[in-house]
Amino acid sequence: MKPINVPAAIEARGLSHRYGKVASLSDVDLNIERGEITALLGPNGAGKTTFVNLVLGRDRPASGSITTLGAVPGSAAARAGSGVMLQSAALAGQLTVREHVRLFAGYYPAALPVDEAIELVGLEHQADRRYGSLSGGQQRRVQFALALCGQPALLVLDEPTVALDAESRRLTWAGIRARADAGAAVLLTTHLLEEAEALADRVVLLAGGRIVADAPPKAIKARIAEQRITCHSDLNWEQITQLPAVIAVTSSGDRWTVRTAQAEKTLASWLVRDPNLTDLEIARASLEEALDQLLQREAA
Amino acid sequence: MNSIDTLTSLVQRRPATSPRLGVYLREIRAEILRSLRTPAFLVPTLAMPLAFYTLFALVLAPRGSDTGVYILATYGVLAALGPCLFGFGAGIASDRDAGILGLKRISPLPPAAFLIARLASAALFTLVVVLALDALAAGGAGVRLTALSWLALLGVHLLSVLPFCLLGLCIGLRTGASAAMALSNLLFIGLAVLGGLWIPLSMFPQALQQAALVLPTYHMSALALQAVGHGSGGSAWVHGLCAAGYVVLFGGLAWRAWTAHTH
Repeated sequence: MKPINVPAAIEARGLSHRYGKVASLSDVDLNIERGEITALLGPNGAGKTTFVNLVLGRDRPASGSITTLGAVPGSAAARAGSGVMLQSAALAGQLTVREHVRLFAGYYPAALPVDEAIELVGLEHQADRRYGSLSGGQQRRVQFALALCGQPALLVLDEPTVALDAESRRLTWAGIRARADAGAAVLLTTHLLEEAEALADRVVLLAGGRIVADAPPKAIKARIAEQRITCHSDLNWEQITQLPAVIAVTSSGDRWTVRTAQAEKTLASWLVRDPNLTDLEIARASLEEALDQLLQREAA
Repeated sequence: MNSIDTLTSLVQRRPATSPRLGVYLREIRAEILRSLRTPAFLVPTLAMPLAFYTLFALVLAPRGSDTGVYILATYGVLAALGPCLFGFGAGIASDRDAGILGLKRISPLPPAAFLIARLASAALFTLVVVLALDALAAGGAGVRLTALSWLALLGVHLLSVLPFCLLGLCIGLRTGASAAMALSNLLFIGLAVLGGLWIPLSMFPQALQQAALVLPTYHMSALALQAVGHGSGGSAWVHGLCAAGYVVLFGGLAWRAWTAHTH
């Protein structure tokens, strides 16, 4: 797919960054390739936004190097090829959707027609409404349209679907996919495993400012997608521990809490052994819990 | 807005010849639209100098006095101070707080275009108020000046935008939105009153008259007063040099703040 002599859209070597004395990113080596959606996955404080800020030239590395589209991050050349959606950025409330998109499209040499960019994010009926009068989800979609409208070679999205309704999320995912299919490099950050899984070709798992895994989403999911089963059951501790895919078993009062790598497998045989099982609850472990688990396993 | 529309559409039709100019013009147009749609900015900055001029030069001034021409000179400086401190300074602070400035700075927009657009917007609103003041003075207060004096006065009033906007920029880049609004209000009143824009400095005690010498508003209004033949000591060169000094000082401080700002 990728011609050999084309440099990666983003090349980071030994990249480190500190806020005061706290290391926010430590010795990160990472290439973001064209035509691919790369998700930076990690809990809050993992260093995702720090990496994005270094890519955009909003912060300078403490050590190591980084290039964006082969240029210095934040330089005119790097900015000309990048479309960006920040995590917390407002737009002028007094301008309409169309005015915003037209203004931004004018920054890029090969921008989409304004109406097309507005349709991409499904705001054709709100095109002449002022930004300030839109709902939160619609406002995020305008910001997304601004990131897309220049048909950038690099799309950088910091938590693009936080606080989005289902419809906005679907449209945003489709727009991101279309940009990657057109050959752009897409870098997005997320703290949702589901989002990385649904969207990304590659997941880079960050924790504590370091890369702990870099693999296709399926492989990442297999390593961290833990679930938690809670229920009443007449089986004893030993019997439950023997169930398939079980990682750990605890009890509080008369309720069992079981961490499992695959809830379906565990439950299927549990129900066979104890048809009287009641009060069943299944929940996905949070990314933080799963990461803790992963890091502990790998340290051991 | 029609002339601006025509201007930008002309440029849009020929992007190959001057794509950069088009970017600047569209940015200026967007800034002006924003201000026009913000009554909280429009009403006080535009209406206040006109309302005060009407009150003091047309209603309260004794017949045959030269109040009309005197406060035309000083209110024109006031008309520049408002848009520069509130529209430019406090406006940039709130854009910065909201992340608007951060997004512009990582977009392909030339870095200066954002500032130039806001500066042009402040200058345009100043021009509108100053021309309205001139019309009120000539039509209502019977102010008669030579063509050269009118032009010199207009020039001084428009040039006031430069030091005042750079001062606003320092505030906008260094303070948060709510602090910038408070500071702008304080500076607006302070610079206007102590610089002699509201009340002639000769009515102040000696110490305050001395203190006015360090205010940019004093030097701009002194230049404006000289343009209409009401100069009160000090050559135009000295006042001009002092004003230029403020441009350099505020410009330098603003440049430092701008290069330090990345988010």
